[in-house]
Amino acid sequence: MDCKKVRKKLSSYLDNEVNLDQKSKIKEHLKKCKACSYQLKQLRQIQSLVQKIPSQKPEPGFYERLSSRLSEKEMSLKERLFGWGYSWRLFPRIAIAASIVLILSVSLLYIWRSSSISGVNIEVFQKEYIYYSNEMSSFAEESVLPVLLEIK
Amino acid sequence: MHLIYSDEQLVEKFKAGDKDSFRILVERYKSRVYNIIYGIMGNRDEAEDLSQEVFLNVYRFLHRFKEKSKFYTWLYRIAVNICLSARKKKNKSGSIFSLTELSEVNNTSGKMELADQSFSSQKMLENMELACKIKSAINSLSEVLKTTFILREFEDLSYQELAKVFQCSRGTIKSRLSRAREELRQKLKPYIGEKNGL
Repeated sequence: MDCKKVRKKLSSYLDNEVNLDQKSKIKEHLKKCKACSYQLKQLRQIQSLVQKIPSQKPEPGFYERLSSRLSEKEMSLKERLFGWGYSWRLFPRIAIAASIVLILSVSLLYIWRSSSISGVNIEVFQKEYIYYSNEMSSFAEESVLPVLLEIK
Repeated sequence: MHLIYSDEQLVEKFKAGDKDSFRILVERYKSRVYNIIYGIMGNRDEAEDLSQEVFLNVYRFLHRFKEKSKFYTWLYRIAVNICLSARKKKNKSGSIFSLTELSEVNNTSGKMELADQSFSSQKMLENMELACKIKSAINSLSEVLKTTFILREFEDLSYQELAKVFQCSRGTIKSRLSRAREELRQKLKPYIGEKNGL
């Protein structure tokens, strides 16, 4: 393993997150290479210093403060469910539902009306058809009659 | 007799309606969550506020937790997400450790001495200065590198656990930690080395 490869793996080596094969190769390299082993020492030192930074703790009464925030949240949820706040939040949904119902009603009304209008048309058409058929047949008889008389 | 429940048992109890188990989980993890958030945000008020936000989310979503991972990796994931979104909102790079906090470190700087060094006032001053430099160097890392580094060094999470927290591969974690450490090494090079016992 060359220096470039070893240096890329030094961080994982430090955390013992390399496989056994890589570990032994890195170890071998570090024995020979002073620059790489110096770099590893620097990383170890930084790690050791960082881990010595004192940890921070929350002020006493953390759970009590959390608990009161939790109660506030639960209260506001109830308000949202049963109060005006929630109604306003529901408004867009109600508006969408009302629009759908309106569109469906208008569509059904249109279908019903158009079917009833077409029924009237058929009736009128039938009456007119019979009337004009009779008219046409009498006209045909009138025009044909003189011709027949002439032939005779 | 005081029973010590595992995280898994407490989660089960909470899901079954035992709200007291939530309190035990909070008491168990509040300091760790606070410390991580403090490390990322660098401000006590924000650390308090966001830590509470984390546990409020835990309370709200714990019933959805499928227990495919450990409870604490799930918890840290919530913490990291909350920090990153808070950072986005702030949209500015704050100091991860404020000056007042640095003076607190100075007071406890006895903890900062290197193992092979004799304890002297001169050394203490050097260590105090070094602590400031280290914190400032960590602060200069990008959000993702900083968060990964903090969880690794402060909480000692394995690469596998970090991959679960960040929902990425172990390779990505390796690469992030390697980059973070290299950046820190470059920045701290003048302050560490033979002078400090190497």
